[in-house]
Amino acid sequence: MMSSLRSTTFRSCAQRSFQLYVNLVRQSSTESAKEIKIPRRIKRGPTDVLKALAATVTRDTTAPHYKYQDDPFLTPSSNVGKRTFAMAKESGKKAARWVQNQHPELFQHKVSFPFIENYTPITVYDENSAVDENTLKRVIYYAQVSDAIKVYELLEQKGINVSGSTKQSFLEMLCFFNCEDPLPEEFLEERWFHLSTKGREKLRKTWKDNSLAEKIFLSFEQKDSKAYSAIIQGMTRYCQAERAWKLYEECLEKNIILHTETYNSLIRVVHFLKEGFEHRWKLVQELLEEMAKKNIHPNVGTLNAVLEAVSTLPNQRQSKEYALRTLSEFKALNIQPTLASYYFLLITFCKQRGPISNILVEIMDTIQGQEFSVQDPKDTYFFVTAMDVCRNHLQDKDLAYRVDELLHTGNNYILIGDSYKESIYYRHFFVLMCTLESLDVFMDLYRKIVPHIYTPEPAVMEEVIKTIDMNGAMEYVPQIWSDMVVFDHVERENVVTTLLDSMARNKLPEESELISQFGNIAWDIWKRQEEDVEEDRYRQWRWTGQILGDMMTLLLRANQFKESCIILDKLNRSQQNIVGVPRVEVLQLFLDRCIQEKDVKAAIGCVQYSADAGFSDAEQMAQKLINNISLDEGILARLSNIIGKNLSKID
Amino acid sequence: MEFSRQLLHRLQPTLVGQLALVRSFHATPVCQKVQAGRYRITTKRNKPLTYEMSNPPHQIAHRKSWNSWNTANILGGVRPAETTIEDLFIRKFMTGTWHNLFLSEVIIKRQHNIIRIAGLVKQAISARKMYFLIGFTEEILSCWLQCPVKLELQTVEDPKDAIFKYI
Amino acid sequence: MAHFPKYMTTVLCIPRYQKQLPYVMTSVYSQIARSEKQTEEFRVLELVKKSAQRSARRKAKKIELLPPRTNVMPVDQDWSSVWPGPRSFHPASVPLPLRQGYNKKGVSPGKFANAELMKIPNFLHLTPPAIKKHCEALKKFCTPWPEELNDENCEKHFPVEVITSDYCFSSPDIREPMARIVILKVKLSALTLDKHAKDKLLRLVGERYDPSTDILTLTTDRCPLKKQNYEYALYLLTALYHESQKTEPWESEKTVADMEYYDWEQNVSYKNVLGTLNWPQSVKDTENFKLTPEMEEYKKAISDLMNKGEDLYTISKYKEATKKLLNLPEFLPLEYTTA
Repeated sequence: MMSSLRSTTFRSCAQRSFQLYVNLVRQSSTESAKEIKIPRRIKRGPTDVLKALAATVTRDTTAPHYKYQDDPFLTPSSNVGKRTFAMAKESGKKAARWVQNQHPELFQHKVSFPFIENYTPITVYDENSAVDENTLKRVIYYAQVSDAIKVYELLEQKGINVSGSTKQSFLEMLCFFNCEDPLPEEFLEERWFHLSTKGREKLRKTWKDNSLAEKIFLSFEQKDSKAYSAIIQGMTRYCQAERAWKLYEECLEKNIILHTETYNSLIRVVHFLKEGFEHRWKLVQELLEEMAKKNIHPNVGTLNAVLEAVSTLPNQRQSKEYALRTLSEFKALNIQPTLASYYFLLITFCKQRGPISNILVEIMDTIQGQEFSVQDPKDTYFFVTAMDVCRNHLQDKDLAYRVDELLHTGNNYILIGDSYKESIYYRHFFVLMCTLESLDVFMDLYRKIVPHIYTPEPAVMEEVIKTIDMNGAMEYVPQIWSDMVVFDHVERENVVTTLLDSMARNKLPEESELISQFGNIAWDIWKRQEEDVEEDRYRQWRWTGQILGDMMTLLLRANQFKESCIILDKLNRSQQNIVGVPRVEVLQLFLDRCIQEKDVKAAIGCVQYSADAGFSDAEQMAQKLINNISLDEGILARLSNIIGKNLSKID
Repeated sequence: MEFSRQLLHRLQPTLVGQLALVRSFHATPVCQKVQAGRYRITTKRNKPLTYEMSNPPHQIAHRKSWNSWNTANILGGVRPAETTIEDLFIRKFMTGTWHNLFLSEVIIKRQHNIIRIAGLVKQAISARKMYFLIGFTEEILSCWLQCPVKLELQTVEDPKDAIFKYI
Repeated sequence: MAHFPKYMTTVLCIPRYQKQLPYVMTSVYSQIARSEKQTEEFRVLELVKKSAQRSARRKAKKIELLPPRTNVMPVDQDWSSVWPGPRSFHPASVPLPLRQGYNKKGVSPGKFANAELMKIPNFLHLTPPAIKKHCEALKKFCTPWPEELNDENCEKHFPVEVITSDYCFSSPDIREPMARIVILKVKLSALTLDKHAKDKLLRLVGERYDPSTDILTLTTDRCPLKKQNYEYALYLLTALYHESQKTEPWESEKTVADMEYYDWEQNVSYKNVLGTLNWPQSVKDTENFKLTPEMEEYKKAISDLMNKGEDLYTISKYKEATKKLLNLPEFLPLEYTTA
């Protein structure tokens, strides 16, 4: 058959068939056959081959993220662009799903085998749908909360009994989700960009009192440990601490043994229950003692919860001591700390206004080269905090490299969390390298990371420009400018000011082609703000004298005299709108050029401006002008008017 | 009927003897012309043709390539009819959703389960809108065809770049 | 003709992006000037907006495009990371100066805006270094071939050969009915069969046995699943083997016509020879007749002729044997030969 690309011919070497035929095959040869050892087949899962092949592929730094189309027009270049494109694609997906769910009767055909559930429209449960306990189980399995509630109500209406275990899993689901639907898993772009919109989460009570969860809990005839665990954990998750505590005390009275996770969650909400750090710590200790009394084994969650509580203690010496003691106690119990534990350690030890602590070095020594998986929601905070510590607290670039290496080992990159944390991580890394690393190495790193992995914010751009300025490496400036244009930083006054300032101050050798490039940059800035502008859009750009002065310097150096005249014109005309004045050397340079070019009008404009601006050198300038160019009476009179003194040619 | 039979009877020895590629008997006038996929030359000579349009169908596999790649039409291939109908549906859908944006034909490649749709697109709408269309197309075609669908587009700034000649 | 398009870049020569293209200005400014002029006079009511004004609004914002990323790709990059899987060609991502298409008057069209390059399947994801990497990554799933197991040993230890086919095709449905076929091949020399068992087996099996290679081929496709067909094939082999070992009572009714080979002593020829040689006395006791050497030779010759088929050698042997048996001279005189 032409379509068969692979036909397996195998000698039956399966153990079973070999046994079957060994009695049929008589060893005809008399020599004793050497023992043939056939090695055992290496077990592999269904996706192991794919994972092995995927491990040969590393990130290509010249390409955008694979969720974007790899086309220059469709590649995002700024942070705004990245977010917009990803969310636009996702909104397209949502629109498609909406269309599908509006007309489910058109999507009933089944062509794929094995059948793909995901491509079917969502089933809606109403009075007419035939539901039974299995439906409820399936809906709980797929974590469809609102559907589960509807199905449960339908079952109640029809009088169908729900078994205890199903009820328990239903209760657990409701407690976990607080009777609300979570963000659907397929729409992951929303989750990725979630925090950058929401900012920091405010921990406040969101638990729904008297919700279906509580009703179900009360409907249990015999409230056992599982039910109590579920409801307490649910309440603590959504910060309903008092009632959770009351239920906990009920459990103590009834002598019901709760799950470890329940105790962990109670430790986490201790700060809602008591005021004052001493009380809180005492409560934590009480809970731990309860656990020990009832022989409930602590786990990683307990470790992290305790460390979290410790990190909120104000007394630094105490908190450090407790933290280390906790760690060692848990190590004795053979519980390995996770990245979240290290995160809490970092925030305990490396406080902003505290003494410098080298705990990060010790942490890195312990976890170097290990691969982590997600064990705690706070695991994602580790890398950001570690890089923050490297930058602000320790200013150590080798340590930063080690942290970065750890991030890139194996599958650890997923622990970066979401886009917000990623951008902060790279921001810290970048600025640290900018200040500490030599410029060439830094620019290598810049080329690798920017723009696809990380797009610098304007503040970071400023730092980069300042570093380049310090090193006097002007050859990187055109690249920085083009990146600024692409990242949409041209509206930011501070960055542009810094850039122009560095360009103007660093004098270049005469033959350098950068001079003309700088002139082009200056003119480009002018064009963007003056000409390529939409009238009705609000612009936050305000010209300052310094910017215009620097631009003039660059244009003059690049022999673009006419353009610098236009700028001077603007200076003269819009004096009220422009903040500050350019340096006087600029005007003198301009005047010299005017004299060279014999452009009297421009020279007069220059003198006019310097007089208006109140420069004391105005008179000198006028005098120089008169000396060098022969002027006629009218103009001489004008000049005198400007200066306010009578001037004449001095030989 | 009788006449045709007798005629065939008389012609048969000559036909067999020649072993030529002859057309069978016609009862109606025959039009031996081909006009599929060919464009008439205009008087003003300003009708733009892409490379694909300027090569007539007999140049497929010589100067032109196929737009649709799958294993349906090989000996022992599966689902040839359904694949072709799906291709027609995809082309109509793409042309309709991307209004006047495609500069070339829609290219459909199938590998196992995955359908990859490629083509040249004009840069007439903003990239954000394009991403909306990409997400929408991928999702709704996946749901309809029950296969993962991926778009691999190349955007062209100037439509004149895709024009091969003027006719 | 499609050259590479005028991609928008910034004004400057940027060392990072070496290929530079001029900054294209539009005629926005002239249109603004025109609209300004109009405001000085009476505004004319235009019921149908002219196209010039429409395009003025559209071209207001220029988008900054990144240049193709082939400009920044380092020469020593890891290509298998850039193109890890099958993908339609994209000119901005492949740093090769390719041309595709036939142009009678001039040069072939370039790679930008070339749909032909996008149509053809490319193997940029399977360059030799990439394949090498894949092989290295897959080695951990492989075990070494045992050295003692060479070809003859294979035959000896694994006499049964099972052939199955798997099919790859493009379809949403993974089922393929041809994939259920299982072919089982075994050499009969590997099975212990005596004469009767072998004869019975060959009769049962019929065309499935190839005498030139001594291979019995069983093809099963009657079950819907490959696994079921495989188990059925094994069952068939077992059943055949055991059946051929058994002797049914009706097998004793085998007649001369059923014989699978020519046994001279049971055939007419034996009686004829005996009758001819002992003429005019008839031989009653054919069973214990002692054969003379000529008769032995005749028996061998005629058995060979019947069993192995006619060819020059067997026929000449038969001729010799017949002559010896009937005591005919070596060369017959001319009168007795036919013309």
